[in-house]
Amino acid sequence: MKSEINLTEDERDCLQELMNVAYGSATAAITEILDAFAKLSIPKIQIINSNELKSYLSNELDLEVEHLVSLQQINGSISGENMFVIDKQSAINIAYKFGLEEDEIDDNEISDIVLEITNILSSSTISKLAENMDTNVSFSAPTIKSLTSINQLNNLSITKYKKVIIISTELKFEDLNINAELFILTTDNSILYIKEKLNKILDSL
Amino acid sequence: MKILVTDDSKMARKMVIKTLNEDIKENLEIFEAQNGQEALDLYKEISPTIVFLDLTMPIMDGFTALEKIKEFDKNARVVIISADIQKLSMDRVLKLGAFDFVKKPIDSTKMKQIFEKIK
Repeated sequence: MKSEINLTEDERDCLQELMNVAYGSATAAITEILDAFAKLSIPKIQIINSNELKSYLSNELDLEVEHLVSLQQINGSISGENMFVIDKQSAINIAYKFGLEEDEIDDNEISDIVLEITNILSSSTISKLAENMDTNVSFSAPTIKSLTSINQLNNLSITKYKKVIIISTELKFEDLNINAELFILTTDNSILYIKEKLNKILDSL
Repeated sequence: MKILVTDDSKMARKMVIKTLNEDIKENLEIFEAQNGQEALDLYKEISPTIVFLDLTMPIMDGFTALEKIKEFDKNARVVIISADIQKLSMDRVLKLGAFDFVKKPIDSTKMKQIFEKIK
């Protein structure tokens, strides 16, 4: 498919707002579970060449400390991957908030919790985003791995595409010292599909 | 009737304005602001009947803007329209004196209710 793989200012603004609404409702679900208050940030939208993805992520993430990365495939008109990244101490702090004692917390427990958060946060954000674009998506089961260097992130299927749209936002519970980031990475054809949907929305206003 | 619509997203402002134009049969003069600081400055200048205010914005967020507008005019009617639907956020803005809290995107029923409440 040959077309301009970029977003105009209005398209970017529209996507940012749709993401804001989708992420807001997903975050509310998490805050109810954790009984905590999350500070919401303005989502960031970027389109980059996929061969720049690792260096982009490397700049965005502080990998001097161990992080956990949960990856989930998105299938449908909007296809790609979502990636939830959380530093290990934040994941441990979530485990404490879930009521686990120190001697109960091990790598398996932490992975379980991160996978659950990924499921709730990522799936509901992307489902809502898809709903607002009048389409459907499905998800694969998320996988998780520990990350201390960006080179360990070698299983992103997205890198086979030319361009990647990155929609990212933070999950921040200041009182609990929990910080995480959600990235939604989509592919060339999806970018064009998203553009088409955004323009329909913009035309209706 | 002067209405001030505040959101950093142009699309979000357009959505509110579209609902206003379609559902409210009043003579409306609509003003727009892109962040809390602009809203506060415009409020002082035009004294709108209602302010629609987003929460997550750069420069000055909606919580701060609401607080400052209410400090300036304790009778200000500020309606929060936000995607931040956490109970704590809703409680906080109502405590700060918000006239109402609306989950994004606003629909015509809710918009009509707000204007009924003003009458």
